[in-house]
Amino acid sequence: MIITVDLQSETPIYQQIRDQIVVGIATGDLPPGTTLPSARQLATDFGINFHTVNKAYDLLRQEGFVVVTRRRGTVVRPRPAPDLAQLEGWERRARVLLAEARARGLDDAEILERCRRILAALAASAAPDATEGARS
Amino acid sequence: MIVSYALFLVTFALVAIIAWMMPDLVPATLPFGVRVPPERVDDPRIARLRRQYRATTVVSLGAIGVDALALTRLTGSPLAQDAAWALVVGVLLAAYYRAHRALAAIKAREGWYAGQRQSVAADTALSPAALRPPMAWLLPALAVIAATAAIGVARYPELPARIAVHFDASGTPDRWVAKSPLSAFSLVTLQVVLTALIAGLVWLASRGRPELDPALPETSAARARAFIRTIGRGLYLLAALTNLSLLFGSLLIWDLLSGSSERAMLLVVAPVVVGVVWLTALAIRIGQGGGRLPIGRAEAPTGFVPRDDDGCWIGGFIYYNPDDPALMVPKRFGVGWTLNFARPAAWIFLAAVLLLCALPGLLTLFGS
Repeated sequence: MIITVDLQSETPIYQQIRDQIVVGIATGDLPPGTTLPSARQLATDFGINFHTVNKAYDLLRQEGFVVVTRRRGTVVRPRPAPDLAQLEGWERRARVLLAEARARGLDDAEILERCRRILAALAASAAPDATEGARS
Repeated sequence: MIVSYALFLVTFALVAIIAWMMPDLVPATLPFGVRVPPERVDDPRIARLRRQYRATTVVSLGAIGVDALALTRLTGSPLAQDAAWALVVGVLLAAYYRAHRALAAIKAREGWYAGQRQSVAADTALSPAALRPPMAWLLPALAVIAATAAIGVARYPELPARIAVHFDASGTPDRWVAKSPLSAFSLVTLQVVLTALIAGLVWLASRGRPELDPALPETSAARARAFIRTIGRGLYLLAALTNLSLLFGSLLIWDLLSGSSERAMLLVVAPVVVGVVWLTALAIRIGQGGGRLPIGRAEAPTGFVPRDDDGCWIGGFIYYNPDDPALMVPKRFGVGWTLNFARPAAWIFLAAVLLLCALPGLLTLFGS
């Protein structure tokens, strides 16, 4: 899977890497059991500081998306049973995002329709020409 | 004498062809080592700099080559050829640097990178193991070493007390040393050293950065993968052909090559020349980073451009970037890799290569 880091973005680089790996896991571009490149290798490929990539990997590990094994390195975990404590944080963030849409004047049907489209794109990304939606 | 002339002509022609082709071998967004945004690659001033660079190289290299050959004929000393090589390096560096400076100035003056979305891209599937060419390609080189060593072991008891270890360009021996395993097997040592060096280089290159173009990440990932695998295979086969040359060289030392000395010299030189010519043709065909490979993939525009990292390249050709963990990075004006001299490992690597190159010389020095 291609990960692109926008160097001028307001979003910190480690967050961009973390976000794109999460999207990759959700779309199936990074199926469970996939070995991710070592933090050092990914930093080399980007030409950025090793600690930045390490921070993204630490975050992914804390959030339970990946596990670190001595033998295989950083590996995508099988889809876990939904963790209610983690989902609480997700709901808080989703609430702000949905509130933004409402505050901008979108009605609920429109917001739901857009959410459905995003989910459909995540699910369809195994099809070859839907990947750009997952990457942006 | 004819072999020596031909050798000089072939290598000189190779260098001239590479110098002439180089502006076409590097990515279009990196003319003369200056990072330019995709919409500027067809700027007429870049085309003019290319023409100037080509005119300079073809005129000066032609003059240097003709002079060197005439001087060699006149004086009969190979010194003229050494001087020619030094001049060639100087001329090529100057021609490149002039174009680099001129383009960098235009880019800075007109702010070509203002408002561009600079980014870097990586492919999680391009692990070093996925990039490395299969080790089986190293087998021919190892087989030649084994064959040379086997012949040497069988021949060693029959060798005279003094053996010839150096031959002039016409194949006549001009230096003898006392027979010892070290002197008799000096070229086998060289085979092992060279093969190890090439295997190490391919290994390091596969751990280096396959630089992706964020504007075309999928295409450039496919190119990067094809590039390192093709060049890696080419280097392994070059090792095999070089070892073959050293096998013939060993036969010469062991007095197993019959026929005229001129023919023997041709046998020694031919494999390595074929290898170098073939690797050069390979490099010209695929281009730096595999940029000339026909990989046609429809990719949606990403809106990104590569990061403007000109500041990390001293003089446009020495990479020095303390923030980059990569040891080996793609060259800016060339086909292959260069070192990140901000990494201490780069200096260690350079010292190790120099030491390895000096090793055979040191061995014969202490062995005699």
